[in-house]
Order: sequence, then structure tokens, then C-alpha cells
Amino acid sequence: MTVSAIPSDNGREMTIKITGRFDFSSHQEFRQIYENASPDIKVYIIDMCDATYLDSSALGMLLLLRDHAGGDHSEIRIVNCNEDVRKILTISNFGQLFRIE
Amino acid sequence: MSDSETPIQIDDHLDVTILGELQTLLEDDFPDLIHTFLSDARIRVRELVRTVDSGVAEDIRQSAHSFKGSTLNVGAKQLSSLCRELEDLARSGRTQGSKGLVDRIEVELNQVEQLMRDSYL
Amino acid sequence: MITHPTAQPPGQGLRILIADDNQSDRMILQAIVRREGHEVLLATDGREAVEQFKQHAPDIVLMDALMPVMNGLEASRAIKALAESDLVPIIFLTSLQDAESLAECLDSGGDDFMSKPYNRVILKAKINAFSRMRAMHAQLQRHNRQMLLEQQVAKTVFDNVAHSGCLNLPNIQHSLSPMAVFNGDTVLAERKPDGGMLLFLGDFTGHGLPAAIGAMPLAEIFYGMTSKGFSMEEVLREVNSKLRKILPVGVFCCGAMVELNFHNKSARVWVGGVPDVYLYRGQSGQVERFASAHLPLGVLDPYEFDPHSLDVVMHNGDRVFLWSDGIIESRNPADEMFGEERLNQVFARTDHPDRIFQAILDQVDHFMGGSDRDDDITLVTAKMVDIEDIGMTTYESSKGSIGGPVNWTLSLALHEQSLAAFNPLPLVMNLLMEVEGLRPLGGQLYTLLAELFSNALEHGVLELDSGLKTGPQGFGQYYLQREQALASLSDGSVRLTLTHRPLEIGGELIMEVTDTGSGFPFADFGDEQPESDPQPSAQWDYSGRGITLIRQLSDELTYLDGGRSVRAIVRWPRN
Repeated sequence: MTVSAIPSDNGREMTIKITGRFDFSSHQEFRQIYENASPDIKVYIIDMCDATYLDSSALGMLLLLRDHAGGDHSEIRIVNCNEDVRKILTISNFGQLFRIE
Repeated sequence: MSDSETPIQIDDHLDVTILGELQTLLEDDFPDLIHTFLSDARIRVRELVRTVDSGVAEDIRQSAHSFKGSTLNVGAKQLSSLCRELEDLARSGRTQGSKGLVDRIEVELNQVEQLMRDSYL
Repeated sequence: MITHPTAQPPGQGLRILIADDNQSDRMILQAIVRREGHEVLLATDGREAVEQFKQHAPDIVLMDALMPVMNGLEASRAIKALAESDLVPIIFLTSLQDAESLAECLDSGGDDFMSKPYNRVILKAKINAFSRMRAMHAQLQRHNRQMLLEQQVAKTVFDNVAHSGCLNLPNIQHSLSPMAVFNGDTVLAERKPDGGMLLFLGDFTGHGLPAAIGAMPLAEIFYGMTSKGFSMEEVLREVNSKLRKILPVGVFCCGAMVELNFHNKSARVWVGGVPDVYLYRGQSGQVERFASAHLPLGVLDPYEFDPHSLDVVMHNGDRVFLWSDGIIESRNPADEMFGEERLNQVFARTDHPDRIFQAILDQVDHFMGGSDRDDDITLVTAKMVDIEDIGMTTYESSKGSIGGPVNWTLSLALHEQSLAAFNPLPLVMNLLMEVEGLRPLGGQLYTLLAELFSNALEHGVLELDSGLKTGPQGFGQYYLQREQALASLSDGSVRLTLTHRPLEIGGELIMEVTDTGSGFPFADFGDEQPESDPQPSAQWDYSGRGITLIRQLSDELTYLDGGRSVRAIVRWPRN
């Protein structure tokens, strides 16, 4: 499992790409990425195209990011989910908190 | 290499560095070690002769291997390489030539004993 | 975290066993090892080595691979077995060359090699390295033991809190591994006062203590509120807001709650973050599903939280099934998930409804085969039955909220110096509020005690004239006098004696306040007045010691000893 960050050209967006299983083992890595992000970043895009699975710890990490990005005022999009990942996000009703595309 | 006719060169038979270190390490017990090694070596060579006579390759290999270990530790380098030759031969399952090797081991042990008595006791 | 000092500095003063059949080799090794300050044990073959190990428990073993009687490989297997979880490094002494033989040494439990001729520097370095490893291993073991101990305590506390419900009723079946709380899994069930039942299955984020910690307040709230008759919505609301408040962001509880009403045969279902709750129809064998419609508990702020549930009609024999993702996500050795399809098959194929629960456990177990269980199975099912089958709700005093101390006496005497410096009312109120039945009467009891105490102090001990309190100015003067009198008080005391005792229904609190003053003609102040006296004039209240008020607040009021002592009784429950 790896997490990598790609800032956008305009400096306002950051894409965080998840590869493999998204679980507690990536906690540190994931946290570091958004904590070290520039304060100009207003939009986060979580790219799940290579994520195979996520567990409840990963959901917790998404909530931490949301909190960091401004809670109810945050703008976070979760994109390119495979069926398993989408299912987990659906069961937990994270669509209420994130834009899942 | 080490026929009994040629003049004996101590370096051909013994690793003097190892023996020197052992001397420093064991101090007063060093002669005891040499005596112990030599008397043990006699027993092991007799064991080698017995296994070679019995012709069981695995037995030969084990005895040769075991003897090799103790010769290495006291720096009897020629003796250990002969043991190794015998061990390798036996490992390949052959016994042919083992008699000749044991004979050479016996001769070499005599040389080692002579050298050790002359230089270290 | 306590850090333990290591038993000795690494590499110093170890006990080292040398097992070698060759005497000269032993002599050399022994000399090397002794030189480094270690104690030496000797063995000439494998069997002796094992014996020495049993008797003297060496720290490190130097083992010749080939030895008579029992060779080194066999001996090291035996020693490793004897050492159990202790780390006893075994260094093989060998002139073996081929990789296969060397590998065999490691396979039989060896930790390293040392080839002949022995090198003193290398051997010393190896012994030191293994000594450090031993120290670390020992520390890890200590920490591990400590952790297990702590987990055991935490689990005991949790079990006491969480397993006080009604999971043992005949219409409930559940599966929860003994240490499930450390997987974050919780199953709770409790009866409502009206005979109904609340069922909850929860799955906290993460593992270990962080996952377990939220389960305690959750269980407390669940049991406390359910047994008091709060609705499912109220319980959910309270659980959500409590978890939201106490858990860090990112830690939450996926869960499902079901309320069963055995009288009108209905259920309410709330699902937040766990897989579909199944409703199995006993008659038709059909399954109806309730998908997760809510965020997990502890995510949303109280005002955003939605405890709205779905109502469904049930019949006797219908069952609800609640589970965590553990079942669906169980994996077989080929890393495939059990999945919903297989779960549905279990329902379709099981011949009797009562056997479905066990069939699910068996099928998942069978599916997982040899693979390690990465998530224990947490599952609970409850069947709709008639109330007679499970009985009405019984109250146990040990549940959720307890009655507090019900049978006690407190006597507190305050003497002159304390009277000026200490107000006993908060202390006494604190104790009174421990009695559950008195809690609703808190305000009333406070007023009552405050009146009785100030009467005893001001008119009894300080002998202040209550007639002063007739006007705004009088009040000021009164309190000035009070202050002065208190400051110069050289003698006198007030004694509070409180007794609470249970009655057949509820209980009664007897409050006696006695002072060292000269008493007062209480009959003049209306002790004989009927309670419905229509004129509790200002005069009564200002100069008359508030007796009307005291009378109204208590069930019985008696003046004793010429007015030096007063006894008020309050009984609960009050009508």
C-alpha cells in the first residue's frame, strides 16, 4: 500500500493517490501528506483508481482529512472507486460527507 | 608435498599465527591444550583407520569431518586439508583412495607432533 | 510506560553453554568465553547439553553440529522446545561447508554459525549481539505480559459493564469472541421496562485498546437508558453525541440497532455503517434487507445526527440478523472473500430457521479453512416470540444505574470555629444525591436543609432576633450582626443527623438538626397551625423562621427539646 500526493498546477488542489489496500498501515503516510500540504490547498481529490480495499481505519483517516480541510466547509472528492471500495463508502454513508464520483 | 625426506618447514604444516594467539589466550594452559590435541588426534586417526577398513563412506566422512574441525582450531593446516580431501572423497560416496589418504594423515600427524613438541612444548 | 532496566549490561557476565565432543576445541572455546567474563558450562555431547540446559538455564549455547550420542541439531531442537518463549540463542560451531548443511542447522533452531578455526573477535561480537537481542526480547516479553495484563483488566471491566444485558434470553443467539472488544466489536441487548428489547451490534474503528475504549460509555448509555424506558431514537442520539464528544476524529462506531416490540409484533431498525440487517421471515423463508442508511455513530455532531429508523411488522418466528463486516469479509486461503452471495446461500439452503445461525458460523469457518482468521465473527440474531416466552422485564439492582446507598446515618457536628468557616450543605447534598430516589427531590431537600440549618445557627446558637428581618434595612443589619456574632462566637455547635432507610416502597430521609441555643417557644410560631393556614404572611417568613416553608417541604415536622432540636422527614417517591 502506498500513498502519493500530486499537487495541481494552480496550487489550490491536491490529488492523493491510494495504491493497494488502504488501511491502518498507511495512517502515518496519509497524515503526513495532508499535514505537510500548503495552506493554499483548498480542494483534495482522493484518487482510488488503484486502491483495492479500504477498512474502517481508512474511513477514519478520511474523516481526519476532512477535519483538517475545514470540516463541513471542506471540499474533498473521492474519485475512481472500484466496486469494493464504493460499496464500503456506501455502507458507511460517507456520501453525506464527501463527494464520491 | 610434505614427504618425510624433504626438510621440514614449520609454515607448511602449522599456522603459527593461530598457535601464537592460542598461546596468548591460554597462557599456562597452552601446553595442556597441545597435549590434549595430540592425544585426541591419535585416537581420531585410529578411528579413521577403522572406518576406512570398514569401507562405509558415510562413517569415513563423519570421522574426517570431525577431525578436520579440531585440526583447524589448532592451526594444523596441512592435516586439516588432508582431512578435508578425505571428507570430500567420502562425501562423493567413494572409498577408493581413502586408504592412501589415511596413510598420509598418519604421516602428517607425526610431523605435526614433532613440530609442536619442538616449538611449543 | 515503565521501562525495565536490563538484567545486566549486554555481553557481560552471561552463562554460556559449550557443547563440543572434542576436548581441545572445548578448551579453546572455554578460554575465549572466560576471557570475556562469562560463566562457562560444558557438555561433551547433545544429551549432556540438554541436561545442562535443564539444570542451569544458560543464556547462550555454543553447539557443535556433529556430536556422538545426540547430535547438535537434535539437541538444539530439544533446547528450543524447553526454552519455550524465552530467547536462547544457539550458535552452531561448525566446519560444515555446504549450504544445505548450514541451512539444516538454522532449520533445527540454530541462530548463527561460528566456523573453525574460532576467531576470538568474531565470537565476542556474536555473543554481544545475541546478548543485546536477548535483552530486547526480554523487554518485549515484559511489555507483552504487561499489555496482556492490562487487556485482561480492561476486558474484565468491560465485561462487567457490557454483559449485564439480556443476551442469554432463549430467543437470542450471538457469536462474539472473548477478546472481541479488542477487535472493536460489541454486542448488547437489553429489555425495556415495557417488556420490549433493544439489540445493538457495533464495530469500532481500529484494533486494541483504542477500539475497545469507546465500548464502555456506549454500553453504559445503552443499558442505562434502555432499562429506564428511553426510546431507541433517544438512546442512539445519546450514544452518538457521547461518542462524538469523547472519541478523537477518525474513531467511530459502525453499528446497527433493532428494537423489538413483543406486544404489537413490530421492529424498528437503524443501520449506520454495517452491512445490511436481514429480516428472515419464518413462514416464507424470504429475506428482507435493511441497508445502512446512516453514518456511523460518533461522526456527526448532535444536531446533524439522524436517529430515524424504519418500522416493520413482524410475526412470531421471524428473525433479525445483525453482523459486522467480519462475515462477508472473511477470507479463504486463496484470499477470496466470503461475500454476500455465499451468505445468502446459507439462508436459502438451511432447512430449519433455528439452524441458520449455526450454519453461518460453520460455513464461514469451513470457508476460511486453514487461513488465519483476520477478523473474528461477530453476529447476533433475535427471534420474534410472545412475551410469555421470555417473560416480562425484571429489575436487578446491579444494572446500569443503581439505587445508591439506601440504609445509613450521618451525624455531623459543627463547633464554634467550624460554624464560621464551613458550609456543610454542599457536602451533605452530595451524599443525598447518591441516593437515586432522592435525586428528583434535590432542590427541595436543599431548601429544607438550608432553612433548618440557618435557623439552628442564627436563632439557636447566635441568638439573633428574627424580628430584625422585617425590612430591607433590617436585613442588612441582621446579616451584619450575624457576621459579628459568628466572629466572636466562643461556644456553641450545630449537629446534623441524617438517616436514610428503605421503606417497602421507596424510602425516607430523617433530618435532625440540634443546636446548643436556648430553644424557642415553637408553639407561638404556628407549630400547631394547620398546614392550610391561609395567611403565611411576610411576618411568618421573615421573623417566623420560615416554618411554613419547612412544613410544606417535609412529610413530617417535629420540634423537640424546647425548640433546640427539629426533626423533618421526607419520604419518596413523592406524589
